Amino acid sequence: MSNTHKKIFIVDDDPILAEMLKDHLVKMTSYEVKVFNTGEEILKSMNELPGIVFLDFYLDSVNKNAMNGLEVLHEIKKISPETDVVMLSGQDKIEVAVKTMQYGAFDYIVKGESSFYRAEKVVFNIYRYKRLQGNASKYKNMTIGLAVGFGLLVILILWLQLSGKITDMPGWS
Amino acid sequence: MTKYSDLTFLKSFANNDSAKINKYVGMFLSALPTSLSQMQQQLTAQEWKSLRTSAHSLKSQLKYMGIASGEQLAISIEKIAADENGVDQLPDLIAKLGEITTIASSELKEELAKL
Repeated sequence: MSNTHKKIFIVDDDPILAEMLKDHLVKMTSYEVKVFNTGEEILKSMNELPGIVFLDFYLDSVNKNAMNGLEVLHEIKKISPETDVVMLSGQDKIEVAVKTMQYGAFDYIVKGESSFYRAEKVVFNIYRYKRLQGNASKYKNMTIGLAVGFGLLVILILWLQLSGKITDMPGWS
Repeated sequence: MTKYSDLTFLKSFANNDSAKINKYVGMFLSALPTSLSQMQQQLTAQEWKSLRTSAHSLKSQLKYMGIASGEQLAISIEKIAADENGVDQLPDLIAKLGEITTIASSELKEELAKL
């Protein structure tokens, strides 16, 4: 993971929840954590390419004219597709969770006493997932490299045999 | 005597760090009057969608402060405002919410003084 992915942004117009979540994540992870109260504020800071954003679903609860969570999610994914967005909401409704996933959210957490622990787990899951992705990519490249190398070796041996430069290969008649 | 607030969760969450507890409770006590005033205005203006959103936001904060009866009232207000069904109950519910949170606020201030 690059350095920028060690940043977490929290976007919630509930300042108490945002502060509690920030304190918890700072304590339990090695990430730098920043808090924003509106979608407009975070979009101005997306050039910092945070690895993870915790985003409130009802961002327009205090200011009716503010962007709502889904709108902000959409914009975040446009600016930084690699940023993983986790939606926060007081609604325990599967259809809302599914909708956020369709917009590109990585996960959905229902606000409550266990949400801080869940957020911590999601951070570790994302970190593990990105590490696995990196490893999978590495192994894929290695496999392709080995396959190409082996193929070239076979071609070389066939050419050498056909040109008579090698005649005694064990098992080859 | 009935106690309306309970700092058990916050104390556990903050690991009994009095500075953090003070911070969170302070933020709640500071924002509460505005939240209640906003709900009253929304009720008067019959802005049900806004009232629903305000109740929805306040609900989580009441939960963290351990004001269970207040949280239940906020849930009821949220549902009625969302369905726009039974809105005649809202004035009483919001008044009751105001009473409970006033008492709970005093309790919270006393608890902070003991930390």
